[in-house]
Amino acid sequence: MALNEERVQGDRPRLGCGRDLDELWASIDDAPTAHELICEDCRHARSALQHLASVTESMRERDREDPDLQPGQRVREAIMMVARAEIRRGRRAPLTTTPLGTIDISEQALTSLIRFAASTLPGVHARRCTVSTVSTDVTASSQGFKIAATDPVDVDDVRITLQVALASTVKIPATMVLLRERVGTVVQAQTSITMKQINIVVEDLYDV
Amino acid sequence: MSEKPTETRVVDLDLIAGTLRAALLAEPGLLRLEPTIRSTLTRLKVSSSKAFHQRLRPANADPTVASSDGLILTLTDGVLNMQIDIATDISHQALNVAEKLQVVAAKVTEQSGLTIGKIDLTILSIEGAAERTENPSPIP
Repeated sequence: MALNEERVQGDRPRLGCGRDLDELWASIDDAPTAHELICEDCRHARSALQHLASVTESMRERDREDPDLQPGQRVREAIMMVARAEIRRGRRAPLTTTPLGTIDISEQALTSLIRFAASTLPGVHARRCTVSTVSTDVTASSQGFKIAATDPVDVDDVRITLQVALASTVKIPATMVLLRERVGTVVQAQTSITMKQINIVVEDLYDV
Repeated sequence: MSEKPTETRVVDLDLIAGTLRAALLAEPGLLRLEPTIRSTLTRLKVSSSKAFHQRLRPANADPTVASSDGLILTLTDGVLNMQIDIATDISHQALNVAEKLQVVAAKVTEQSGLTIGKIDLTILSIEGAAERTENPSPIP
């Protein structure tokens, strides 16, 4: 590849024809321009850079498959465990403050508990569950900003919306009463949170 | 020059973290201590700086940090603060388990001769006890 020593400007190497080598590299995947078809420097440079690109790609591919470079099972499991736990953190609901310190629960743990409680009723499949608190949500929306992931949940004003699928054989009104009771009782027993509102959306019926 | 000897207490925070971990996991209702990115990064940071700082140090030195999965201990001037992240067994009241764990952590701190600071605890998961079933005490 013919580089013109005199034309190196500000550490940017140029070819004999004056073309910036970085520019050529940026368009390496495109079809050659009219100039590149006839210019000996550009043709040579394109060919060399294409070779370099293919060698780089092949080395990357080999690294991906090289067993010596793969993370061990324990490392992989540890990474996944941290990732899963991190997702569970999210927003937090302060439960109590003892003389020793604070105790809180993550929003994700709370919604999982609600879904678990709902699914203990025969004929109920819990789906998505969201937690909102009217005071913070209304203030946030009226002021045109979203609730940050780190804003704590107001435990004195917990309102949930639970989406469920029901067996086609269950009586919906009676099941709704039981479901509210079950979810409220389990959450109260586990966390001492008394929920202000339990909205349930029956979004599907399934055959049994 | 005073002949009075200076008293220097030596604290191995990693040892305390290990003892605390064992004591917490022995408590019924705790499934596991949950690793988080924060505790993992703290551990990496601490272990990388180990080459430069000896971990055995006077109790009144600058903040010292020890971290393992779900546990971050910070020692400042003999006062031990900690953050504990847990997963609890659904057959036990999560809040009750958390309060008991705070007491366990306080006892371990006291036994190690340090002053109890803040013991903050976060429940990250409440699950069925597939992993541990001994000493079950169901919700009344």
